Amino acid sequence: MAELPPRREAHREPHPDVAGYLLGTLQDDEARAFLDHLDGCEACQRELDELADLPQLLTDLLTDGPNTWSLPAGLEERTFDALAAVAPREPTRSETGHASGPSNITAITPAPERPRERTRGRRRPAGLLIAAAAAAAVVIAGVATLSVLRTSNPAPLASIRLVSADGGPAEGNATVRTTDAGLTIDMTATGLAPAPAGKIYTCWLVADDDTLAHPDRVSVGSFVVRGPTVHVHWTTAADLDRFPHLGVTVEPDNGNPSHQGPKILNGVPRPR
Amino acid sequence: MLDVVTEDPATDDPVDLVHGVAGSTSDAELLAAVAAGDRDVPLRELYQRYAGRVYGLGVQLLSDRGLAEELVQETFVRLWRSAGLYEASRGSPATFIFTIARRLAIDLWRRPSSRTPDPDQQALPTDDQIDRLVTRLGVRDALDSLSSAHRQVLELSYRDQLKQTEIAERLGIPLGTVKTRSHHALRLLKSELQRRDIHG
Ligand SMILES: [Zn+2]
Repeated sequence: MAELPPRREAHREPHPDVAGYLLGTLQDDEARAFLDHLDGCEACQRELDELADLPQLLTDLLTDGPNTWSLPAGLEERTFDALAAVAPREPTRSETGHASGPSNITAITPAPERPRERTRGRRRPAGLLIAAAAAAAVVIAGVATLSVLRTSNPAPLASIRLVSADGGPAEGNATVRTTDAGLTIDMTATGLAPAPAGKIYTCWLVADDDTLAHPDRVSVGSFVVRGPTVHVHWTTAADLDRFPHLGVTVEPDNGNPSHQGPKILNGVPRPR
Repeated sequence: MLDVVTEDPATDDPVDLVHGVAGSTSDAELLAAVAAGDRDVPLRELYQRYAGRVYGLGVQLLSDRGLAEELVQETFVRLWRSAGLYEASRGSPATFIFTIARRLAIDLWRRPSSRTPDPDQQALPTDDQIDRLVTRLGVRDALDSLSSAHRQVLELSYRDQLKQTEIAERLGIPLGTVKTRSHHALRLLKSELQRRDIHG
């Protein structure tokens, strides 16, 4: 049997019989000795209080608990296949109040100011990133003119190579398709470093007349880099005739939907 | 004499205590990444964490594995579409996800083709019944997430009602190790329950 720490003397390590007392697995003499100790030990009283809900939860599980089962094989893939077919997201709570901007996937954080109204687009949750005030340069260099690649073919509408805009190792490609829900953009990129703290990658569709002083672009979506390869799927109602260029920037994750950050990837049309 | 702290090699493996890179990301962070449009790694991680319980909810409430599968699929589709609606001030991610799942489960339950005309099955489960079920699924899930050594000592205690001395004999380990392992197991279970927003 345990040699008990003296009464009323603080001890750093938990008493060896706290668990046994809670679970009812002590011998009678051990339980009595522990109760004597507990009477004067605040540390053990606190520990008992913290763990006190566990015996009942375990007993409930024993007497009335669900059976165990394993998830059916293939359910994860079936679920994610189903997900891939359901693209548009519901507007976020913060997006529902104001509205404009054609993309379904917008910045994580809402626009603090009301963005410029758009008359086109299936849905117009706010957010979008039609920058009222762009703070930094926004030139997409090697542009992919998506509209000229349009076709009635159900095959990908356009395949775009993404090249680093800053000489870094990042590269990737994006495939644009038309679906009933709008345009889908599947982008795969490698060599992107995780965004610095407080920053987030954003993919844009950019109009011809987009300039530093008068940005004219919509955000397709934002993404987080967690590994060597990023795959993102977006749906957007953006009009490719109006926003024919694609690019990726890194933006402050500060709720400002305007384009502010440096360009990371440029879209370049892939030879067909 | 019994050392207050007993080394327990069976459970000292850090794998028991560390959940890996994805596992260290909180549910709220994963939801935020999903809300930002990433349906890949974060959503799959949420699937790993929640699909078992959602499936269990479906099996228990709907008594049909096909409907339970449908519940899992619909819950994650809905989660993908509505992750941006999550507000931490209104509850935990677990509450958010199970709110989605229970609404969908009730929709599925109401679907006429989903039930046999068994009178015992006609009453819609109450919120309270569903709450208790979700809690038990969470406890089961938390227990299953422990190392086998930790889970075993708890199961021998509460399921088989063995005293610590009997557990020591059954497992062929010192009594002091049983005591230490029992305490570690309860501590880890507590922390796994907290991760699942479960409180007794
Ligand atoms: Zn004590």
